[in-house]
Amino acid sequence: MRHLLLIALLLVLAPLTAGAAPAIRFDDLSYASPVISQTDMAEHTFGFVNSGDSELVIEDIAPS
Amino acid sequence: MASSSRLKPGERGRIKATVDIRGRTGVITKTVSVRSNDPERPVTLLSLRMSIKDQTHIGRYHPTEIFSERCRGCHVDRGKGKRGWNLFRADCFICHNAGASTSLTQMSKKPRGSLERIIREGIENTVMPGWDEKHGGPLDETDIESLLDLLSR
Repeated sequence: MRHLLLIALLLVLAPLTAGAAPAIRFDDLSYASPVISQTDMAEHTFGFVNSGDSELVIEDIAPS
Repeated sequence: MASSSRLKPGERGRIKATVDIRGRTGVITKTVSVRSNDPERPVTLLSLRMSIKDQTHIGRYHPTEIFSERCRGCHVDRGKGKRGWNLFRADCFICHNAGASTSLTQMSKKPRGSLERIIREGIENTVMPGWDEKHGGPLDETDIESLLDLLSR
């Protein structure tokens, strides 16, 4: 009985998860600078791609 | 800062991170968290590691340079005439503090013979120069003995 319930639950959830989804893929997740002077501003650009099959929305970017 | 907050499938984007490192020295690590509607990975953490030197030290790499006229005011002369702990505090502690270099406690565990060799000859490919006169350093025999007595207690 419990197995039947699980299968029924999976059947209900399947259509929800199988739909189109965006996917964020970064070229690199980390960056290490060479030795730099303290008078500069350090800058780095992280590249990424939407490798999914629906629109990707960047909701928030927060430094920590 | 992101190039655009909405991307079609296959489209590329950029996130530019700027860190104000003015007046900072040493190694600084910053992270940036990026939240998106990717159901598999709603949050991605990006990290930046920056090695920063001040104007006086940028581009100076060879350890024996600290014995030069330009550098010795801070790196050598403060220990002049001093012995043992006072010499250590004046000239060695600049590197051998709580930072990346070996601490006093760690050094005390080494045998006296290897400590002597390191103080005299330095360690290749590190910032530790050879400190005895033969290697261009400022320490005479008594100075070296006093450091060894301090370290191999």
